[in-house]
Amino acid sequence: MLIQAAVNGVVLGSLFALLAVGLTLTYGVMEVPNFAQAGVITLSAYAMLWLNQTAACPFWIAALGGLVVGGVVSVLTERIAYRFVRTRPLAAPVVALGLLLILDNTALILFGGDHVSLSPPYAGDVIYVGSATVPAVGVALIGTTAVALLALWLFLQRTKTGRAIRAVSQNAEAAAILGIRLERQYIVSFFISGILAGLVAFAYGPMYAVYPYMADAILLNAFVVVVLGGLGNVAGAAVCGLLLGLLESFGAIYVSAAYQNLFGFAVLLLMIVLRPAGLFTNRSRRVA
Amino acid sequence: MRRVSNDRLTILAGTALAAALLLAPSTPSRADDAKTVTVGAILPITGFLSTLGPPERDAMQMGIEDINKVGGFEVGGQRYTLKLKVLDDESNPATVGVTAYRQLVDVDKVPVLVIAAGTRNYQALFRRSPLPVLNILDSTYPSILDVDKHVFLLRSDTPAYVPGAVWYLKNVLKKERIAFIGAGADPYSAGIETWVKKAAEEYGVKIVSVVNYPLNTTNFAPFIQAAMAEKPDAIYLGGVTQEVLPVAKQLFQSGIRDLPVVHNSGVTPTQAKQIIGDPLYNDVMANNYDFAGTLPETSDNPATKKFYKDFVTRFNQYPSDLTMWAYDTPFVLVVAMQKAGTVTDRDKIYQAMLGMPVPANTISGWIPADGGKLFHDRDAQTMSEGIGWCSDKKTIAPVFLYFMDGLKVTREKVVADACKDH
Repeated sequence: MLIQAAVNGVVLGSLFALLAVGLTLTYGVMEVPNFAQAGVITLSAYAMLWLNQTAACPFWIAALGGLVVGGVVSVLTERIAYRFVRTRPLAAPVVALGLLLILDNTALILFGGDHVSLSPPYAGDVIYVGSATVPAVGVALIGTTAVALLALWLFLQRTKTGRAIRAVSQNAEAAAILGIRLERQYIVSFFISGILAGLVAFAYGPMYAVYPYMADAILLNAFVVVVLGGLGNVAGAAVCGLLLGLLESFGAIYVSAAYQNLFGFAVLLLMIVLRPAGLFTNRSRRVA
Repeated sequence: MRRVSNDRLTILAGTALAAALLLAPSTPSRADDAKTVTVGAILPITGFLSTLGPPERDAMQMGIEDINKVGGFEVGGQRYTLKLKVLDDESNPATVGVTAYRQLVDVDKVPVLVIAAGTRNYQALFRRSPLPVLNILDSTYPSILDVDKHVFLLRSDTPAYVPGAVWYLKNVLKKERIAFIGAGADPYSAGIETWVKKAAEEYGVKIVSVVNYPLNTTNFAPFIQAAMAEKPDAIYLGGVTQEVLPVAKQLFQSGIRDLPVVHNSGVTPTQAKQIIGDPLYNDVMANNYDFAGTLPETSDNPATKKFYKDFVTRFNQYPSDLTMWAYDTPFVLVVAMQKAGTVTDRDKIYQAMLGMPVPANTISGWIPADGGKLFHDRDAQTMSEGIGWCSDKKTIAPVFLYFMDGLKVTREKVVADACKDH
């Protein structure tokens, strides 16, 4: 039971981490609570579904197409809405919620309200780890998160653009004085965030179902992770995502499954009281 | 200004008259003189109950078309046709549904209302603007018939089909340890849980675990683990189609494939394919058993068989039990209005409904109450049916027919090799 709970926790934590990293990246560079990320996930999932089932593309091609759609839609949210509220932090949450409604309802109008399954070739496979079982879709989620986080870390640490994004997140004005093009970094950050949203759609869609509000509920957990990890802290989001997943899984087994979501929010309340800046905050070095 | 000669005017007028005569029917049909009665319906067209609303709307529209096709119906010497006005409650009766109620009842002044889910949300409105209300979905427990005396239930209530599923597990599948996984925030699931427990106690089956997941849960792994920890030999899922099928899918994905999975969702093969995905759905559904009302597909009644074929042809999906009740709804309304002698007086129509007979041309297979009445204390009842899955044909087949007399299973018929002849 212990191993199974740990496995379940890692699967759930991987989902939270993947989602939270995308959120914290855009928060780091623009200080926007990007609620619209849930809508980007939804549209990305529908793009995969459409390419796979209507256009009859192989699943992997459809998945790639969905990632691109996620990146493009995310950039559009920045270009059409967020860039106008960069200097108005109080307006940003309202704009973000408005965008979420627009994206969700766009999906509703285009694809209807039914639950539809995104089925990769491995949807029915199971992997046994000792006495525990892991659905292949769960393994895919863990693998996707691991690869995405590693790639993001390398990108931010080893590339010129990655270093520029980190510079903007630390001090946008100073970065601009040094010749870094802010607009470009905002667009790149939102594109990467959109790709991460697409990866969430790719890994999470086959576990449940695709429908217009598919990511709205898990987005709340992801925001808990973002706050716990320290706003704008990518590594903190990754670690706290896994921790929250394990906490919810063990809490569900050893306390009560009915209160699974409560554990995360209870920890959030404790954090806000005891360490409001988050577990891994280093104010001088965000998005790293 | 250009002048038009009298000759040309004459030719034009003659041509127009000839065209009008040609286009008009040779004799006026009966429906030409008919007035229209609007039937108001609030259905979940979108949202988490959206597997239920659209087929109900489509079936009700079929019933109305069949009535109008023969010229409508007559009340007090006047001929009427029916028109359906459906408003979507977005599976959110508490806010969207209440607004729809006000529109249909207070603004459009419909004489009767058809609703589906969330009946308790309308309680205050029933008192403020009472009218006969026909429910074609909401078999939550405690019964919605307690909400208001104007509510009629056009289907069997939860106690009429849930205990039969437990009986089948015990006596046919020889299972004695049930794990229940339910949707915590769904009153339908809560009602099922209540009756599974009552039936288990009555039939000597042990409920080894009860797990309810919170609203908006999408990852059921912890709940599946908690339920499986007690080593059940069968799993009972509470909830509607869009709640049940994702759990069934994740049970399969977790490697739980040998236990029978029982529910009361009324799922059709079309819905299973859509929600679980192709080709996985055929494997996931292989050990599923679904207990609810009888299905049109499995009926012996020629009219019901015709409805089944027409529905499949027209909408390219399997009709569930709900579609039969929905198709019959306009026929029930017509008989009630004829018996009341009015199409507008809500109270007279309500009084007529209380004692109305089972209408002719209906397809649901109603079991009449004393005196041939349709409603047993405002509840119209049919036989219940358990269906299994036929993997070879990727479809469903009846495995068990029954009628509940309290917790006693009556008129039971177990179909041994259901898929063979289906």
